Amino acid sequence: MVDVIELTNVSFERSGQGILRDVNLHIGPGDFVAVVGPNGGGKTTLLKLMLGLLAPTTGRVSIFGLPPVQARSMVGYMPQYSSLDPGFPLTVGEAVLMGRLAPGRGLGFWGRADKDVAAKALGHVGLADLIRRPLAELSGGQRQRVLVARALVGEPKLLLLDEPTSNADVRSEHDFYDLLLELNQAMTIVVVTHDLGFVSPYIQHVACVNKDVLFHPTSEVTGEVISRVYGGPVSMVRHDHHHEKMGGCFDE
Amino acid sequence: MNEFWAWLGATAPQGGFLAALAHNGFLQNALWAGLLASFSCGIMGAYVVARRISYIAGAIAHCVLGGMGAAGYARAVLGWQWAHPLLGAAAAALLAAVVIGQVSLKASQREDTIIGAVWAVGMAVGILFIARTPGYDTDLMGYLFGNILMVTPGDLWLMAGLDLIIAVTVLLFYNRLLAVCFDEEFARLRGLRTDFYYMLLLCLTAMTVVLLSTVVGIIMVIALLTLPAGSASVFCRRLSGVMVWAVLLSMALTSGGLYLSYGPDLPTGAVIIVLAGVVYLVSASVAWLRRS
Repeated sequence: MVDVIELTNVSFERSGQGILRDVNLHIGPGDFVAVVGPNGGGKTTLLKLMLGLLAPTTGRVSIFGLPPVQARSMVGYMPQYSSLDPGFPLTVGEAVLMGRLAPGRGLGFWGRADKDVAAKALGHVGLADLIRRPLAELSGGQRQRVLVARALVGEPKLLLLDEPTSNADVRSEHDFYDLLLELNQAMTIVVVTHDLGFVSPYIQHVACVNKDVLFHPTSEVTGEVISRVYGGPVSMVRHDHHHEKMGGCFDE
Repeated sequence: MNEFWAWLGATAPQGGFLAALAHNGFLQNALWAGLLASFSCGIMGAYVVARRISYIAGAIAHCVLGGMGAAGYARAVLGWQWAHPLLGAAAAALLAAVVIGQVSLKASQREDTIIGAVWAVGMAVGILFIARTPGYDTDLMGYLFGNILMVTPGDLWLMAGLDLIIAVTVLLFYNRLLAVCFDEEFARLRGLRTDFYYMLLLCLTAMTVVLLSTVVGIIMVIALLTLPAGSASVFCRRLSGVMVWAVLLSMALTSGGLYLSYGPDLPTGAVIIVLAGVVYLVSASVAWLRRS
């Protein structure tokens, strides 16, 4: 069976600086992988290599056995919301329909079929009522869900998410990962996060990225592994901090 | 149309703007110019505001002077009768759009420096050509501050033609341009040729700038491009809504500016811009009050 994501001896340099070195990674169908690591460690770069937005300096990336650019129609991508203009005049429905764009599709007005798919995807992420609302009026957690719906309407087999819950509260973060777990029935998911303690109950594998990439089953990830990746006990502090937050949430 | 003007001339109070409008072809042309330019202005203004490229539009506008100056020089000194100033303006605007577009696509750093350089150099080239062209004073003032009262029927047809091009393009590519403006990376992942759509946006903006420069002049073009769309953005939740309201607002502003400037004999372009500024101030204040 062909791997969903396969990186072979991949290195990436930017203006002479090594960002990733000699990465070998195999992610199979149905996997749910968290990509963790310190800021600047290369997490987003890894994702952009998988999307073909960046080309590796050396080595080979293939997605479903194809070069990433050719596999794009099978890949759903959710960027960090902070990279987008929050005041852009756009409704939720219009944002989701962007996921239906493809070469030769999306000329003129959207047809009934596309609108139905968009409405269904919004229902899937629990926002069916908000289809006509301006995106700017939504909460952080709701916007993240809109972007997931936008990734879903392209009917992807692989979903890549970049820090999807970075500005959501803990309750909506829980709901969000429950949603991803459900989607995981039908597609492979790779999510970049800084919050391993939170996601570990949901995921099957962890890719620890700090120039090198280490790939582990979740059960093998111990405090020691995390310390090695982050280069110190930082992650354990985050971990504790997180339990505090969760405790506060459950006390309600 | 002639029946309408005859009717207006018979019923409007004598000595007022409407009576003058009924009897003077140049005022009728000015009114049409304002309405036709408003169409492109509102639609492209919505894109310029949403995509935040008003600085690029400003640079293109000032480059127009270079093209107008060169065409005027070619006509007066070299005797090239076909070198209409609007043709020169369009060529310069498109060239500026292509240069700036390539720079902003390829070089992520120093983009603003290069835009500033194109802005100033385009203008300087124009001033040099105009200085070497006999009778330059009147031309220069007209280019810089607009001469809507000098618009010819030929100009009107050009404007109508451009409006048609913009209407068709935007109807056809609305969803794609929307995606490219909102999230270019995502649009590229969906298989769109985003560089093409970005250049298309800049070229359509460039052509709109050329049209507007005949109405309000090169210096005030950015104001007319951004203020109506900016005012409309306060109230609209969709880009298409911003477009419709910006078109209507521009039409009201250009017509109102023509009306207000006629009696006291004020420069029409400046009156239009001051009106646009007032409208923007009011809508921004309303937005601010609503938020607080």
